[in-house]
Amino acid sequence: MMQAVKIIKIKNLTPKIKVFRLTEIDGKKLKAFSPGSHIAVEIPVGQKIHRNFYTLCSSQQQTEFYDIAVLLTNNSRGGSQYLHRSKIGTKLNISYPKNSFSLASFAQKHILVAGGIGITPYLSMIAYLSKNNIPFELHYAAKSASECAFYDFLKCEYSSQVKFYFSELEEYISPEKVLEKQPLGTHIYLCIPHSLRKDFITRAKSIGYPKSAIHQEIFGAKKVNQKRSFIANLSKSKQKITVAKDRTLLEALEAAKIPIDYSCRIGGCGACEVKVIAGDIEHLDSYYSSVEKTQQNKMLACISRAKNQQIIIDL
Amino acid sequence: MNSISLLTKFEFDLSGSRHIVCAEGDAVDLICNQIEKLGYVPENTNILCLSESIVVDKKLNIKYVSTLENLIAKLIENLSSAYMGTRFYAVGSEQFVGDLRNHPIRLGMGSDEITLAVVERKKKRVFCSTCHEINTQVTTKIFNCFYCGIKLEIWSHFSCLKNAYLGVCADAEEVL
Repeated sequence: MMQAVKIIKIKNLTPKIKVFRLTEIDGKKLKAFSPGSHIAVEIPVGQKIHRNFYTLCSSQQQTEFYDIAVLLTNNSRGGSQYLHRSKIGTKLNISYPKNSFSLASFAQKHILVAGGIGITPYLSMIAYLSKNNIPFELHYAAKSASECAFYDFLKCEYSSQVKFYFSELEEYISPEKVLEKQPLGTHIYLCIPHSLRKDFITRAKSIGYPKSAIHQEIFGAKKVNQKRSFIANLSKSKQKITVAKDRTLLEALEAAKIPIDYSCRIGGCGACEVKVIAGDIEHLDSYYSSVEKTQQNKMLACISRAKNQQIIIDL
Repeated sequence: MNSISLLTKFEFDLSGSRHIVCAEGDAVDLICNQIEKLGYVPENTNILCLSESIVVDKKLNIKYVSTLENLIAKLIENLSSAYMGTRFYAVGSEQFVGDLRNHPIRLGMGSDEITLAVVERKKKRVFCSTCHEINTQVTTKIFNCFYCGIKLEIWSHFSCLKNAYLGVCADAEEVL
């Protein structure tokens, strides 16, 4: 389900982050959403249409417009570059909102941890929490104030709940200090780089936070060694697809024009799951449980690979 | 929904860093057995036992409380100052466990932080669907409501909120 929108405002938040305000083309209200939701934006790249995913950082209390913040990256598929070159009036097709990083409704307190562009899901969350007088803390790491998206806004509106950490000033988030002595019912939300996320989870588990109280939004896949290519044999269509060492199975299937669904493209949502009939799988996702991974009968095409030279998939 | 399954064994959830245990009478034995099996008392374990006298004569830090009201008051005191990492356990009859379960939940504890161990359910609490009163200590499947006198049949449907089974009129369809 798609919505046709246009860009009505563009603001530079930092040298590399712009926020875009989108309204429905005919002035109608956009679809409602819950805090933490994201949308897919269709981006034309050459002859193809890619879908990039951006969190809604406007408040869910109104749907006259959506705000999305986009970080310009060099190693993207071209989506951020397209948007950064866009002007006011540019028309876009976007999906209905979807939420895979929502607030826990039974939590008594929320601790939100952000690194860089990871701040985006928290804007709508803190608007909601603040309106409903629900306690929260926001711990936000960035290189400096000038590279900290929404710094002025957060300092002004949420000064008592936000703590900033600027690496240029050698200020770093301490998982221990953030997590210890928190009251019962505290949930933590992590939208931070992999290594800091790992430290937080390790510390939270050692304190005794249950798994259900730790929420993560995957913001960048794990760096993996992708040196080996492999062949995917498609059992239904009888095709053989070579997956080069610097490509994913999803990309190889798309290049071969084999229809396959996808969403996050970083192993977090399960949309690109394929059944595996034979061959050992190297799971690189953050979606399956350890039990599911040992079953070796399905994989996420966007990130996982064959352990050996060949694999047979049910496509 | 159905009520909690009967316990087969009690175990500490050692992923927690603090343990608040409430036991009813002899059920405290189960906790002591588990501690013996472990060979140590998990750090920061606090055991409250509902009993008018000492049940186990072992060197364990067990606080005995003679009434349910006092036990609940002590429990709330403990929970109010507890931090994340705490695990809660209630071990005893179905009525006892049901009386305690809502307190940690109200403070935000999730199901993976709470262990409910029902050791017997001979006596049931039954909600009368006619007069809406709750009958306690019911031991038969069919009985007369203590309040309105209607003959009730106990169904398997259990309300966590009311901590009671549903009792419906047993002879509603009999021809008068």
